[in-house]
Amino acid sequence: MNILGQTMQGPIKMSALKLSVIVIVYKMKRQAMNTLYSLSAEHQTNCSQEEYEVLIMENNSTDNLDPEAIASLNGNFRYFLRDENHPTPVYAINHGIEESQAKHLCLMIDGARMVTPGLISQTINMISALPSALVCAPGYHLGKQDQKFHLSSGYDEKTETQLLDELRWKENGYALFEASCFSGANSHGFFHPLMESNCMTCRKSSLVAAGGAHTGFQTPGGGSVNLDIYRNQALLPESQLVILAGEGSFHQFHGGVTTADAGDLEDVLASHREELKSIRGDYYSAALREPIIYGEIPRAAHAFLRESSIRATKRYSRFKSQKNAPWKDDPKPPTLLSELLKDYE
Amino acid sequence: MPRQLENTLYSLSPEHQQNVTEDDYEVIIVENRSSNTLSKASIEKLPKNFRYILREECGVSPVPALNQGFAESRGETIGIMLDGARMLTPRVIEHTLSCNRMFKNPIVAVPAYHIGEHEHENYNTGREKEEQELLKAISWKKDGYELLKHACSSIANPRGYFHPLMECNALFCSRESFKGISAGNGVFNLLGGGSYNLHLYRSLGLNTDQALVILPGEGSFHQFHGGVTTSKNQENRATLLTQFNEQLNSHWGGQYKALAREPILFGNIPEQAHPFMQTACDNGMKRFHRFERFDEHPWPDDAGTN
Repeated sequence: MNILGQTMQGPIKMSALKLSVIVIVYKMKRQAMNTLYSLSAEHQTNCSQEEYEVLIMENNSTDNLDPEAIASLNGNFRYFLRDENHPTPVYAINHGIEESQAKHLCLMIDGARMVTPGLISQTINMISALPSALVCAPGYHLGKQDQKFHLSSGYDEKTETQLLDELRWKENGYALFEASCFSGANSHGFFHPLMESNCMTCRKSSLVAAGGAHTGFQTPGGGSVNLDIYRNQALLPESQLVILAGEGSFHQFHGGVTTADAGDLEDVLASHREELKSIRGDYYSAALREPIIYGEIPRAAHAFLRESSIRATKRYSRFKSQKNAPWKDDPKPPTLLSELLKDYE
Repeated sequence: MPRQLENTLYSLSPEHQQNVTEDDYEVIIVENRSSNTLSKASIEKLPKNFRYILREECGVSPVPALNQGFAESRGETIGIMLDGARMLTPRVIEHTLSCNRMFKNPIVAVPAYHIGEHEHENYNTGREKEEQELLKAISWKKDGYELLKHACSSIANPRGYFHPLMECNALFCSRESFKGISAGNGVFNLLGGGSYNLHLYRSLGLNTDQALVILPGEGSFHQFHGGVTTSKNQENRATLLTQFNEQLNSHWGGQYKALAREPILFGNIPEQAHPFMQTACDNGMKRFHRFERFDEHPWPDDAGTN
């Protein structure tokens, strides 16, 4: 196994390290380099690069990342080029968990997702205040519609590259909101239960206790493994779900499972559902936990906050008319704040 | 205001405040002696973490009472409610405690509402009675957020929290920050403190190294009482407000304006708070467009914008 894995920018000060970001990459050089830039200290604000490390887990292919390009970024980037040819990322995820050095992990299972500049600082603030929080950035797709429809609408990598140039996103990371739509994981906004999060942070210990990524997920791209990880974490009674309402992870177009040629998408998704059922004994359902929101809301994100809020009002009235509890997975009685903190004081 | 105060005190009690216990906070009630103070029976029923101080005071401003309350307080963070007629929603204390862990010396502001469909400018006993009946009917003690369904935004933040707030009636900051602005400034000696609350919010908020957090899912709810802004004599009211403004402007050298800093939002958003969030977003987007058109910064009091 060819593992670099050394910090490419010098040794990490362990005392300052608070967060390990694990980014899974496979054959997506253009997109992943944007993602890594978005995670670099150059792009992230209000935090010091000593506070976080970024682990890039890539299975060897004909289109690997350029280690020198990674080394030129500001931050603690550790690149792992793995000699593995399984089509699922579960082993790469577990390898990342094993190699991570901080007590909290931010899992980004799809390296094609860029993040906004407040993501790291807000995540660190939140986990410092409430270590058992499950902190998620809402997901967006670049372009005016979910990328599973893009090929049929003429949206391709070239269109996207042009769009990103026009947005000048490296100068203003929040400009991405101007040209995006909600992704499928939170298509009704972030006051509805998330299906999953492609940028989620939780305690390393609780991810390890849950068995990391279940190796039963063998379909290409890991099938529903990310949903499975999210649900398991969200259902822990001590996990306070926190949504970074003014931040986001933005999916770029690539040949991934849900954005590739979508002709047989329904069949693919059905196979994912069946695989999860065979592992967990039941079909997937979203965890119904009431979120806390946290963050500044940049100008371009207001429309999404508004849309989320309108959708929430509709959902609440639907649940009320059906006499259903909107957040039935919340612990009853709710956990005292002092209880949540007692192991960390 | 014993009736209103009892509601406020219940709303602050560990019974009403969720996910916290009496060990997490204290409440200090400071009242100047009058013919209508909190009853002995009510004082005896106060929760263990409450203290009641009855003061002899000949002035008309609550600022000296605030200073006494501050001197008696023990928390590293203090919450200031200059008007005892304001009830709070159930997660104000919990979320403020969380904010204190997230930021160094944050300023935490709770949006203000008035119970009923209209501002409380025109006080009359009929409307006070209506309010009492409303409060009885909506079982707010069972679900504190029900108050949001029967309230309107207060004049301090009529367009919502993406516009600068004028003031805040449930405001939290560190002891250090409060001391840093000379605590309760004795200059504000007019009835009800005059514009002291506006002065307080701006003074604290200008410390740009301290995070300004708004709890959009929570609220403080003004009840009708014979206070200054809900006073029945309109002519007196106008005269008083002019005096208040003059005092404020003279203290700020004519430079007083609402604090324009971008807020950090924190907290859960209960069902009842969503309509206010939608209005705040609508108004916020309009404001942003306007500022963009004139190429002006929407939050000029933030660090690095001048």
